[in-house]
This record gives sequence, structure tokens and C-alpha cells, in this order.
Amino acid sequence: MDPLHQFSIKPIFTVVIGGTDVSFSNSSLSMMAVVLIVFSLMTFSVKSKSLVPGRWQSLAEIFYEFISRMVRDNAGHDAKPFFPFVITLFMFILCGNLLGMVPGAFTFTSHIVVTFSMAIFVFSMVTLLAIVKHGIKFLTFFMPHGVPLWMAPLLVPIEIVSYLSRPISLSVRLFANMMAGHTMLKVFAGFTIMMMGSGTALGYAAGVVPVVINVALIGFEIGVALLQAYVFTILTCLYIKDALELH
Amino acid sequence: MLSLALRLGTEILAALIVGTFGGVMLDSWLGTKPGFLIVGLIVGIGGGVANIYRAVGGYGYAIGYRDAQEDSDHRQNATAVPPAGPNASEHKGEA
Repeated sequence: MDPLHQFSIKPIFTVVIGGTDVSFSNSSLSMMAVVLIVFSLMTFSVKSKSLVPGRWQSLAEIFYEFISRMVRDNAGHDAKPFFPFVITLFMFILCGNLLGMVPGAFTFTSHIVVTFSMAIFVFSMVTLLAIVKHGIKFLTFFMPHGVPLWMAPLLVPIEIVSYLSRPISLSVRLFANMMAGHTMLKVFAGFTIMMMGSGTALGYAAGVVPVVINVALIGFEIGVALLQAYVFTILTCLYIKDALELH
Repeated sequence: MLSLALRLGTEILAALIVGTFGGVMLDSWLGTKPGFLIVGLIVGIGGGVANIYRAVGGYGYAIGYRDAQEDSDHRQNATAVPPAGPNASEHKGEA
């Protein structure tokens, strides 16, 4: 009945290396499953390499073209080398979110650790890219154009905080959306159980209402799963563009 | 609409976390107990407002940022330029 029970990490087999718990948990299992799903989808479906694509090949091509267009439009022409990274990120998050919609499955994107480690990786990569590409000129990133010099002591800290908040807002957005949605589903499902548990005719009749709401919520939640994967990816593209062009 | 509100909420929250946490860290490092916390809090609020300003106004990194929602014509205007970019540079190269 605990709506947060679904997020608990359970070790499948326990591994401790040097005092650190690195157990293979249900979270790791679903991540492995997603990697396997994405790998099979993107490899086996294009194996026939037919000119007229079949169903599976079309699906893989849709994803490929969608991300390729996203990278070109939002990150610019120079961002082509980052296409493999961006599509990997997108497919991983998308399939992770959608796998979480399977009843009984574990949603690893509902854990801040997972989303934050992805976000901090994107952030570090983008920052390193900007430093490597622009060198010391990277620091002009924190000083917008056309700002009088006496504003600098006020604006530079604000810009730095705004820049450093990127990985946090990126990760919190995905994590909060997934966690809130899944908790809401469980809460409404719990209502049904409580009402049915009363055993009265009124209880049985009223117990149908949360089920109806849950049907709508599941559709909504699938929409959120798609949207949040998209938002995470498009922001990654925009950060890459920022790093490449530096305003 | 709710998702836009939630997104803006995370923007301000993230900047506040960074500002406050940075202030507390600086305080414990330099031993100036509440000083940098207050400064960090104010800067965090400023950063959060700056984030929201960018996200809503479509400035800076916000190109295409809004189109995850309803704002489809904004995106078309924004993306109408990049496809022309490579062609334009090719022509320049020929000339």
C-alpha cells in the first residue's frame, strides 16, 4: 500500500568491493534490460538493410532521423560528432521511462542518482568541450555582451550560478516528473483497494472511479515519459550548441 | 501548462540550491558563518530569475526550448534558419 515502495532498491546479488556496496540491484537489472532492448532494436531491425523498410526497420529509422534532425537544428552543423552520444542518451532515457510503464517494472529514471549522474556527465562534457574549443575565452560566457562593466560584480555570480544550476535542473526535472507520476498512479490504485476493502456495495461502486482516473493517468504518464526524454535530449543539444558557439 | 509550470519551478529551485549550497560551502571553508549564505541566497534568487527569464523569453539557450509544449510556430521560426546555414556556407565556399 505504500506508494513509494515501488522505488525501493533491492539487491539481486550482493557485491561489496573495498567496503563499497556495488550490488547488482533491480535498478541495474532494468538498466541492463534497456540497454539490451535498445541494442537489439537498433541492430537487428536494420540487419536486412532493405531499401523499402519493414516495420522494425522503419521504427529504427524514425528514431535515427528524429534525433539527427534534432541535433542538426538545435545544436548546429558542427555538432555532428555528438550525434551518437545524443541518440544513445535519448534511447536510454526513453526506453527507461517506457519500461517503467510496464506494470511491475522498475523505473530507474525515477531515481535522482541516475538522472543526476547523466546530467553531470552532460554538463562536464559540455564544459570541457567549451574549454578545449575556446580556451580562456570560455570565461566570456559568464559576461553577456553589451553589459556595462560596473554591472559585472553582480552579473557574473548570477551567470555562474545559472550555469551551475543546469545539471540540477536537468536532473531534477526528469526525476521529479517520473517519480511524481508513478507515485500518483500508486496512490489512485491504493484508493481502489481501500474502497473495495470496505466490502460494502457502495465501496465496490466507488472503487471503479480511481480505476477510470488511472486509465487516463497512464496515458498521461506515457506522454510524460516521451516528453521528458525529449526535453532532456533537446537541452543536451542546446548545451552542446552553447559550448560550440559560446553565444 | 502544468508541465511548463513544473519546469520553471525546477529552474528556480536548481539555482537556489546551487546558490545556497555554494554559500554554505564557502562559509564553512572561510569561517564567515552567515555571510556567504546570505550572498549565495540572493545570487541564487537572481540566477533563478535569470533562468526563468531565458526559458520563457526564448533567449540564450532557449532556442527550441519551448517547443516540447504547445509553442510549435516559435520552433518553426527558430529552425527555419539552420537548414539554410550549410547551403549558404557551401555557396560561400564556391565563391
